[in-house]
Amino acid sequence: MAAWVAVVVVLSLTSQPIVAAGAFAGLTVLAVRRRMFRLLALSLVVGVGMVAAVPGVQLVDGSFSFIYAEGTWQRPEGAAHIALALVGLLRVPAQVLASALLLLVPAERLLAGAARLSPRAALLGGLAARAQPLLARDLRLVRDDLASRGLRVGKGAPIAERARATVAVWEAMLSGVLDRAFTTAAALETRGYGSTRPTTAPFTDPELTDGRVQAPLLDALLTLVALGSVVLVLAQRASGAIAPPAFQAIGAVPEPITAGVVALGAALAALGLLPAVMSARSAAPTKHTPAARHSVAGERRPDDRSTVSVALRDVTMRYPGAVSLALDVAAIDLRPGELVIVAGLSGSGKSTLLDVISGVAPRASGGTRSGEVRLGDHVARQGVGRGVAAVFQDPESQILVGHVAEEVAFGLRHTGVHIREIERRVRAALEQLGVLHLARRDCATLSGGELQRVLLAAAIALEPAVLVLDEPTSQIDATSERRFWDAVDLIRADRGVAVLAAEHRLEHVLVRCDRVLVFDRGRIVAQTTPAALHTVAPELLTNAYAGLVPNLIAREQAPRLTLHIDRVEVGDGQAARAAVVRSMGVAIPPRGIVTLEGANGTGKSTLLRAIRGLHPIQGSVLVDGVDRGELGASTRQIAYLAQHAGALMSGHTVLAGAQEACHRLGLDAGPARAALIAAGLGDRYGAHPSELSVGERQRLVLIAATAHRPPIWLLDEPTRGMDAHARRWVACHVLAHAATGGVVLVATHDSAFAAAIATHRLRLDLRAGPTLLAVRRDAAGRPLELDRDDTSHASSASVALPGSVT
Amino acid sequence: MTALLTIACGVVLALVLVGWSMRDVDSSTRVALAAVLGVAATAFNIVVPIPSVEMTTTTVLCVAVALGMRMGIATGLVAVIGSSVAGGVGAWTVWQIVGMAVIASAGAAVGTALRAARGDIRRDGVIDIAMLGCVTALVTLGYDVVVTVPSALMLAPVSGSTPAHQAWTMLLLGAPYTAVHVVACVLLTITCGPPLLFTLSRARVRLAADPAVTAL
Repeated sequence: MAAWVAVVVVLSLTSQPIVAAGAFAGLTVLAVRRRMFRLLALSLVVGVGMVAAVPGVQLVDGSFSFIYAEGTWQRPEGAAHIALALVGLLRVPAQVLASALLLLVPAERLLAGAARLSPRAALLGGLAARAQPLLARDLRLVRDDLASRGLRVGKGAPIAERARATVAVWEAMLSGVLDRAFTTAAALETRGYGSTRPTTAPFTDPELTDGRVQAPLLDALLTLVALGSVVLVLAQRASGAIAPPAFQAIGAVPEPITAGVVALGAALAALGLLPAVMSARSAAPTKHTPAARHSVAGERRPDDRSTVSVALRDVTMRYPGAVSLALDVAAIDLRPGELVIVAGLSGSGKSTLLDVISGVAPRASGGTRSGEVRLGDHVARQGVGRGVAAVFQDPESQILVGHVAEEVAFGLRHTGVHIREIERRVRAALEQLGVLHLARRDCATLSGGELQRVLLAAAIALEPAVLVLDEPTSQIDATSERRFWDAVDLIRADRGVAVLAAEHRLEHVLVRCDRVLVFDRGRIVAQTTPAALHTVAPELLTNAYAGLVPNLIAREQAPRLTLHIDRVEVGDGQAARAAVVRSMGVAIPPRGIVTLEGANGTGKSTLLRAIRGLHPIQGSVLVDGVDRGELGASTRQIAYLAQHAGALMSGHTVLAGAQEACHRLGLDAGPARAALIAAGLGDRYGAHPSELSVGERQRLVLIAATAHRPPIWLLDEPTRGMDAHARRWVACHVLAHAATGGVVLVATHDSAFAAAIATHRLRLDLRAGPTLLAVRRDAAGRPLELDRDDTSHASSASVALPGSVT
Repeated sequence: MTALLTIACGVVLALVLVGWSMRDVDSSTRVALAAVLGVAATAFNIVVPIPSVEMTTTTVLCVAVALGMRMGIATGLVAVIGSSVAGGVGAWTVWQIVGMAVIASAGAAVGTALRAARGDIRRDGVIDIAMLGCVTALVTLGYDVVVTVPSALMLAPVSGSTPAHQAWTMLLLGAPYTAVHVVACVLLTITCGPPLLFTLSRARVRLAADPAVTAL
């Protein structure tokens, strides 16, 4: 940064003004890169005002000349010239100042400043900036997926193969892009986007923002610089003898152009003034509009429990192009403080119900809705919308701003709440969920569990009457999941918020809920208490993995996977590199099913990618004593299922997607077709992958990854987002593979899945190092408590596990 | 015409276009789509880091065909700014935005014409790849002219040429690059356009509930 500033200074002093303009372009690029849009505006004003309109500084014949007049550079004469020349020199400190501000001004301030000029453009830019790393991650996943199935995308691959891979990458990216956009749209919808002109005044609470440079100071600076530009141009014209050097450098300057510059300066001055005016306006108490008043549910108190929070009457919902109704509900009432669970298999209408109540359907989903949805005394025409807050599955796609406090404030800003009230509610919500200490952090630095609690804070900051949760804990670990539901309980108790939640893993929430609505094909088939659910819908409580036991009899001919890992690191040149695995020596026997355990961020996914050859590793991975070799050579030996792979699928149809792996490996398509039938997708051959449910997609990618039956499988969260049937299918698929002598490594947060299939557990801990534990089972195959005698710190030496554990 | 006037025209045009397209991103689905599609277009260049081979033209064209001109411009705006972060911002940036508007307007016209004639942009469920390729060639040429000519106008006073002479010189000198650009865009549209249009048709169905879609 210092070097860059030095370059700017030198260029400004010794070069033509047009070169200095180039330096400003550099500053602009830097500002865009750092997403400091407010400073970008400032630098543009400085650029136009100083470079184009102010006398320049140039090195002529070994000495500085300041004034360009009558076709030559001259030393200044007279007070007016000297004053103008001195002001011309301001160009340099202005550039330095702008560079320094880049380091000082928090990004959220700049975004907030941009939002004052054009809220939509600022939001669009912000969303795009946040989508970039997510798409980069998607891109890496797709490339990993393709590479692990034998299709190389990068250098070294033949052009035809690269072209095919490029199209496949694009198709898979699009699939993910659209789903991500829809989730973001749903988050925008439930947080009031477009309902009124947003509140743009900045935070003043130092605990919510960095506060190093106050926005009013920036406003004043911006205004001063812009006005100064106008004054200078006018003074210049009045003096009559001086022509702007930048104009001289590129041609004659007609009078209208100078007038245009003045007009532009005036416009920029107005833009500079605008934020200050807006700040002054928003700092004054405002009257709530009807919409804003409705959103301020703080006027409702928890003691309103006798009333109904939300009521649905004869509500139907049909998605565009669909023949059957996605939802057909006669009546649902939710009361304040209630927790009602919506249960049912995938595609039963749970999410549609939540979308209708939250207002996402049909506004953001398309289709038509009929019937009456009532929030308290308010009848909603398009959906309840305001007054209902929501948290969905994928936390990253719901992040709209990036800065934690601003994220929580987003809905309040977009419903026209006054800035002081916004600060109060943001602080209260963060405090209540125990994440106030994260207020000044960037969301990109938070774990999945922290993100979901921040999003929950963003939801309750709206002080909604109803909170809608659509499988909010499906992507976080068990500890985070428990903390999340504890927070929900707290909100219900403190604020009297009615909570409607869809969940597949009922065992975690049944003990907390008041009622259960059982859905099937869009209809409520049962409405019961948690205690009575056993008799009303026992299939929902059946252990998905009941009766499943790994086959523990070893086969000598089966492959043995040996891992000798000295070090696996995460991070790149910009981020700090950190070792996630150190000194691990593990021999996994045939039929071994090893579950990787550890909290988010302990390196489970990285370890799997490293074993597959998709991540640098110091050490060796041996299959039957032979190094697994290069990535391409190991394709037939090792299958890899990445996280989120279900959201990123190529192929026009389900069958084509499943056959891809076989074709790339030169195999017959028969195994793919047979596997599809076995997975219950036989009737979906012609469907586009995007039309499948989450569980179906995950099954499809698992089939695609393992269709050629490689002996070693690496699976990263294979049961994510699946209902009980789908999870059982995955477990059976894994056990069947192990029964034939295969080896499976699974990273999973699904503890029941791990308990059902694991023969060994590899616990990853950043401090203690990796620990391998053998799973003992009773006669019925149920896992016993782990025997500490079998606990081996894998870091000490190579640990050869017994072929069978009984 | 001076360089400053050229830049000023570009700035004014770009601001008008941005302001006009922003009027249409008042729905949550539209703003989210424009953001991720624009980024996806630039992300493609990570996979194919070859100069003049970029997905922006194809993406903006297909978005405009499927979702209308304003969405095309908004997507192009995100893509231009996104690519400028790597490629640098300059006087040409505003003309790139104007060029994207040219592509978007052509795409929207094609989409409207196809829907008027067939009721759908597909014929018997299949995208007319040849037609799409021809349109891509034309709009890519148009884009290159829109971006090149203002640069010529800005350089004319410095080089001493007339603006027209400078423009022709630059267009002729840039012909090989333009040819590569056109061929690459056509190939990308033929290969990657159909899945993109299919995906966008899903989005269009969703936007059917959005009152703004009637304005397409």
